[in-house]
Amino acid sequence: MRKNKLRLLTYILIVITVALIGYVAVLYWRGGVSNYEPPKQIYATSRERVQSDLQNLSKAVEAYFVINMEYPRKLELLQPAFLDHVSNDPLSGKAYLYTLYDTGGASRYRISVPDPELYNAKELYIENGKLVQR
Amino acid sequence: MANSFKDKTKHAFTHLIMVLSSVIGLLFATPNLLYSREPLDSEIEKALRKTVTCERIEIKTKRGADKGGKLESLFIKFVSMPKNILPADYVTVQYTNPQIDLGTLKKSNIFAITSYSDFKIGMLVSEQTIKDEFEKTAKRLSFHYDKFLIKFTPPFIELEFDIPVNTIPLKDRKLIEKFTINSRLKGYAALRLEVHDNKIFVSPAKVILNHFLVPMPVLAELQKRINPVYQITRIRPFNYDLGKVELLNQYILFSN
Repeated sequence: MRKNKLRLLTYILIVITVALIGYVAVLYWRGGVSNYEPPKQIYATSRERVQSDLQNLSKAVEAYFVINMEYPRKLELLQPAFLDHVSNDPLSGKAYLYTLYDTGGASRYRISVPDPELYNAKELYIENGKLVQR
Repeated sequence: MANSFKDKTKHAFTHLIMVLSSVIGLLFATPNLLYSREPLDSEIEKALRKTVTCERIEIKTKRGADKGGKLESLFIKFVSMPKNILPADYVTVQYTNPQIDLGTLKKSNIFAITSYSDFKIGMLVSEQTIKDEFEKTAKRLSFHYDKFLIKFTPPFIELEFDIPVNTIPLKDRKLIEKFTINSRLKGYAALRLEVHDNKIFVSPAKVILNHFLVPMPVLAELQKRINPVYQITRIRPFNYDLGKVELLNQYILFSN
């Protein structure tokens, strides 16, 4: 009986030691220079990707405004200072639509998805930083 | 025939009077418009110069098309802010439908807004400015390092470093001493920024120290100890709370 208990304890200790060695090995293996890169952004759906695109474009438009005191006339002006490249809508492959207008004394901008039906929406856009989908 | 000539002369005369009156009107109106707009911009700039130290101040106003030319928007841009506030390359303040206290502005040279419908502030700090500031601070604090690279990869700031352990404060050093080899810390970090109530917080997404990926519980403890990393001083006379931060290709954008 006692022998069995001792054996069990030894097994548990071996398992814990192996798990610890494995954990440290994984940390070491994942710490090489080849892993010097930021965590990857994973988008589960195209809709998530579009929302992220619209938000990134909107942030860049706001940043452009800080320097120029006006919104850009076209999205291409955001390259390269604020964006690497202006991405297209992932499902249709078309460029996002960008419009400028004035309401109540304030300048406003809207970046919209060209074919919102592809995302089961009537409208999908970002307006002055606020994402709208319906 | 005579009547037709009379009509034509009368018509030409009326036309001439109309043209002349518009020209005279324009001549009188133009200086008035100039007087009412340009001095306001320079008076605001003069008043702000008293309180804000920076390389350049630019003012832009937008008026309504109505007769009174009501001020619809006021934009104020500060270029190269001093580092005691935030070493920002550009700061832009935007008021929508502002009511400027013109009496105080003209009499006491003080900029004050009595009401507005919207207020926005945006601050841009470039990657280059951060690198320059880091180098200056390191020199000032005699912080020696073999390597310290800063790179913007939205939404992360990437750091690659090789530094002696003694440059890290004693209280934080204990937490990472298990990762130290030969009293040096060589590694990589991918960080995200957050801003709450004008305070900058760093959230490490991935840290590698001397070939070891730092586990999440250690990162969480590190995050608790180092934050907030910076307190942004408010630019007076504006009253705002910075609550958003975005990392872009070459800039960090802080906004309210």
